Amino acid sequence: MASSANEPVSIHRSFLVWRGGYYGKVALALSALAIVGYWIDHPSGPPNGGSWLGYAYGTIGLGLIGWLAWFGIRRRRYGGQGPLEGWMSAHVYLGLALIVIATLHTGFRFHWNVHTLAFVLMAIVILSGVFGAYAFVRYPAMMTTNRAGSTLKTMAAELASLDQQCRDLALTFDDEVAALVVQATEDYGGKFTFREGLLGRGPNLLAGATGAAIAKLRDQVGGVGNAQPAEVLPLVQNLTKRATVVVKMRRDWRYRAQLLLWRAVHVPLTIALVIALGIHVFAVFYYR
Amino acid sequence: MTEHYQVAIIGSGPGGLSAAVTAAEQGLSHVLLERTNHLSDTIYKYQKGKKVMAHPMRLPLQGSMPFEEGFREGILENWNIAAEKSGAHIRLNAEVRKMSGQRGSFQLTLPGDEIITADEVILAIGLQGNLRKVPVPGADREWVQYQLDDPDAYQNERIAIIGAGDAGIENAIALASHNEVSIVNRQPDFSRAKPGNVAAIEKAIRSGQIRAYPNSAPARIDDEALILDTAEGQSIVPVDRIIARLGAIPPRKFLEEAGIKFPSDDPAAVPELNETYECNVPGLYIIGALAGFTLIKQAVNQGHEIIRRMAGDPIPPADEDLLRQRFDPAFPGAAVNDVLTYLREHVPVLAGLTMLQLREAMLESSIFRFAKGDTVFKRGDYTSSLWNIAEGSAHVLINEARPDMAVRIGTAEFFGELGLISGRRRSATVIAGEPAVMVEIPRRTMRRLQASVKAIKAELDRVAMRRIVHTGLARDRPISDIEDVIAGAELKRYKAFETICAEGDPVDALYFLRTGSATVTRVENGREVALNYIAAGSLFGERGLLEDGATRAATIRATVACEAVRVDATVVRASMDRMPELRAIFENAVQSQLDQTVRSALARAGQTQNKVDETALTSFLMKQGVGEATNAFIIDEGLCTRCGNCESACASTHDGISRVNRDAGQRAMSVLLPVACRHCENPHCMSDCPVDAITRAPTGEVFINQQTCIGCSNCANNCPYGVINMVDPTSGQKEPQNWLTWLLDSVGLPTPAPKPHDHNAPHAMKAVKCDLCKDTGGSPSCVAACPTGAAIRVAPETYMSWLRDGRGQ
Ligand SMILES: Cc1cc2nc3c(=O)[nH]c(=O)nc-3n(C[C@H](O)[C@H](O)[C@H](O)COP(=O)(O)OP(=O)(O)OC[C@H]3O[C@@H](n4cnc5c(N)ncnc54)[C@H](O)[C@@H]3O)c2cc1C
Ligand code: HEM
Ligand code: SF4
Ligand code: SF4
Ligand code: SF4
Repeated sequence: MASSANEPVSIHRSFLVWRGGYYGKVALALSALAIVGYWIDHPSGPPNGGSWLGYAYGTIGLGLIGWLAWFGIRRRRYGGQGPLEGWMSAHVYLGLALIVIATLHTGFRFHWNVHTLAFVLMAIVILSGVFGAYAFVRYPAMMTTNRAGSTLKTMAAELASLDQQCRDLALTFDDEVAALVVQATEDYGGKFTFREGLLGRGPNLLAGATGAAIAKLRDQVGGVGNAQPAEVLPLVQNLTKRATVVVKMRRDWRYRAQLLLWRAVHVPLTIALVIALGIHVFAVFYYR
Repeated sequence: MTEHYQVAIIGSGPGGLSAAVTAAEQGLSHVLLERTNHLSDTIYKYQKGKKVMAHPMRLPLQGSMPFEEGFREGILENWNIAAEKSGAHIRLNAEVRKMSGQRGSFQLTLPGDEIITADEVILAIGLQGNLRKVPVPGADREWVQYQLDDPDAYQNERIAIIGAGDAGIENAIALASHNEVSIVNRQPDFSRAKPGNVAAIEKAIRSGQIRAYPNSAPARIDDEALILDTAEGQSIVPVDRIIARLGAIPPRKFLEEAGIKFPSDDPAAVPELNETYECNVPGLYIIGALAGFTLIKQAVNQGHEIIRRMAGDPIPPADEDLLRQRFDPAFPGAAVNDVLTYLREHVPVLAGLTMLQLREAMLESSIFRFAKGDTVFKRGDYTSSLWNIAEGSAHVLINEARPDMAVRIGTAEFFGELGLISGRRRSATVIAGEPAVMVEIPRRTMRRLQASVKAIKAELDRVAMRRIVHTGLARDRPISDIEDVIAGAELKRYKAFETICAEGDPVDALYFLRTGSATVTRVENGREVALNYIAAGSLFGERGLLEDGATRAATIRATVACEAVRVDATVVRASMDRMPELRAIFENAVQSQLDQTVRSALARAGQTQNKVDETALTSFLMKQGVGEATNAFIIDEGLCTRCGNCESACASTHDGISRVNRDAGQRAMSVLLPVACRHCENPHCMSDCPVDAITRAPTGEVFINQQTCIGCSNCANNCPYGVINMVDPTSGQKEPQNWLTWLLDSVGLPTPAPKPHDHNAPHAMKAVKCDLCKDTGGSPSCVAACPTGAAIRVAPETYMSWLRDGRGQ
């Protein structure tokens, strides 16, 4: 096959260990160097961004932030580019090194001003990035286990068909029971919203309409409804089965939402950061 | 009184119609008999608005019947006008059911047992055949239909599909979202269909979307009910509509009953014809698709040509000029017929062909004149054609550093047959040994010729076998040294999953895998463990050949249909003393096997827990046909964040239409095999493209030329993995990227839907598939765009050895 120097290595491995964690080592070396530099440097005043070393850290930090933000564009450039995985790996590790370099750049001097604002924005972007990287590493495998070879579409189809069967079976019971069953088939353990996706726990369907319907059905045996176990059993089984499908779908939703939603912090704050940074640089040179 | 004509033309496709129009113009007494109630049923059945191509572009059109590139409707309209204007005598609804006789005394039986007689007959009935009908009482109801044009035309109906082939399954799935669909299957399962379709229908059945009646056959059709014979007795299926997809009856039976002979049982074989298109029945002419000419323009020309000859006013064949141009570089100024005669005399493979077959083959082949030392092809090229030496000789450079060790191939011999069959890279460079004339015949043409001319296949197999044994065992010696070993060799064919040799069997032979691939497995602790993967071109089964009474330590099984050359152990042992290098081959094999065992044992020892069941995974991949891939797309769902970047990358580099589909892929453990081309070693898709639009690039990519594709869907139907889609190539929407959509997309919010595409506008359907991004910078965009390392494209050998070494954990 056609091969080129930047052809991706053709076997699976996580972006964290891309080229043996090359960028991790680069980031570590960079941070170590920065700390040592800070340690041995004795500027005339207190350590700050205005010293010779401070300027150096500032420039590196600025370059890094620009490059990190460029990732948003690079990620959508397709064809004829090197592997994105290398960028991802570098993004994560060098993004982490930035925290060291930027902090040293401040000389640990924080005030209520635009300079500190830029720093705080950067810290939040990095923190959200850390969560993102965590999600990237953890969730795919969990999602795969949860889906167990199925797909969302199949699960939705399965749910629809189970719901239909439940409603059909419910017709042989009296109206009150039937109504409860219909309610149970509309029980999705909450809404599929972003908030639920981020914060929701695993729903406890048995506490809701499903539980109520099952309890009612159980009462039908012998007692009030005078039903045979064989009449009730299939319906209870179907309701339980649909509940497990719902739980799986909700869990899947949670994983997907968490894989996506940290970006709602990461990306807009990156933009805010770039603006704040611009003001910071302008202010530094203008008021010098 | 029966009607009598000078010529009866059967079938009103482009071939028959052109003949009838010419006959009317020439004043011949004639009749055109058409089965349906309209002209040209094959073209009539193309989908609405289909763009019809006029390939081969350079072939001139003969006669007065108009035909140029355009849309289905316009072409049919023009033909109707041409038929009317010429005054051709046409009878519609006149299916010829039986045919007998010969020149001067043909008898054709029409519906109602009407008989027509004719002196000569032109058969132009194409290859579509008659749709198989449901053979039960009540099947004549008007709601029993045999085609489905527009699935959206039916809503909330109870529909039964009879027939569980690909067409039936596709219809069932298309209808299921708006109707209550059941599918009647004579078999217990759907194994006849493509894997993609099988997965889809099984899913739909499991989820209750479609109801299946396995092991069932229709018994009767009543008002609103289909009565089935099932394994448990009769069952009644209430229906509003029945769609039967039972396939077509190939016209072959009809032809054989009329006395027409076929050269072989191969379904691709076409009747043998002389250069006037006459078959073995005197006075019976066969043209168009039925004669093996798959394009409209060819059919039109042949219809015209044949009538001109009958009317005593012959014209040169339409391809005369094209052939002259083909021959000109090697034979400047020579007459076409002289070159054809020369070829028949100098190239044994072409000797058995009729003039018609030869002309057709030469249109696709090339003739070269080489000076001494010119390179014919290079080692590692992905060319797949057969080279024949008409004059001079060729040298196969087995070792490029030692040109003196080259193997000489002489006049009238051929070479390159391995590339022809297994679609692998060339294994050696070949140069001209002296000034030479060589004919290069492409793989597609050779396949057709092999199907039609038995002797060609046998000869190819024989020579290939000799060379495999020679290069595999004693390539540094003259072939005459190992004639005795070759005599002990035979070519064997295996079906997919067939055992080639089993653990515990005596070691009585060694093998060379000529095509396909195989796995080596053995049972350890009651569990079958995959040990190795064998790719085409390898030697295997040699372990223990040196010991007396040794038994096989492992089972070797074909993963796809395979061909292997088997060499008996006794002949090998007998020649061992004479040829010490043979002994070395076996000793090396034993050592490398040992190394391998140690390596994988070490790799395993480091693992605490065996998460991936490597055997199950291997057998899953083999079942999915990965064994015949050269480059498979595999996603590790333990790493994949489902970001969809791979698909976006593919779409964005390919007219907005992604050639990879993750959703419809097959899954096992955490491995996902998306629906995407695997660039098969032996691509099924390439077997009958009428314009050769789907080909393999010298670097190995199987790709489709969008300019020449005519949208016939042959390739899509032939690909067992469902990776080729028929689409309107302009329908891919380039998402307008702006800062807003970018921002929305980055934070995971849906972006506004692009303007919907107008599907009613006239459009050209084309086949699209993965081309391995051969035109976009070399490496697959999909893999390059994956941020997590989940997506890879690999050769199965690489993947299997990675799995085997225990690194897939
Ligand atoms: C989907 C599709 C797309 C294609 N696109 C193109 C394209 O773009 N360009 C191109 O050049 N080619 C194209 N082709 C190929 C082209 O359609 C055929 O090569 C051409 O139709 C062959 O013509 P023919 O005259 O041999 O037979 P056909 O066109 O098949 O005509 C045979 C006729 O005989 C009739 N008939 C059959 N049996 C009997 C009988 N027993 N008695 C009486 N009548 C009978 C049939 O009803 C039919 O009308 C395409 C094919 C398909 C399937
Ligand atoms: C100031 C520092 C950073 C900036 C400016 C920044 C900026 C960005 C931008 C613009 C994107 C593109 C989002 C998109 O287009 O979808 C992105 C993606 C991402 N970032 Fe950062 N980032 C920073 C630090 C980090 C850190 C420290 C980490 C992890 C430790 C991180 C992890 C990620 C991840 C996992 C992605 C998702 C990639 C993808 O979806 O393909 N980022 N970042
Ligand atoms: S299109 Fe299908 S048959 Fe052809 S190479 Fe690709 S996977 Fe194989
Ligand atoms: S290799 Fe290229 S064409 Fe093939 S699926 Fe990937 S992106 Fe698409
Ligand atoms: S690009 Fe990689 S992570 Fe994203 S969907 Fe494709 S395989 Fe999964």
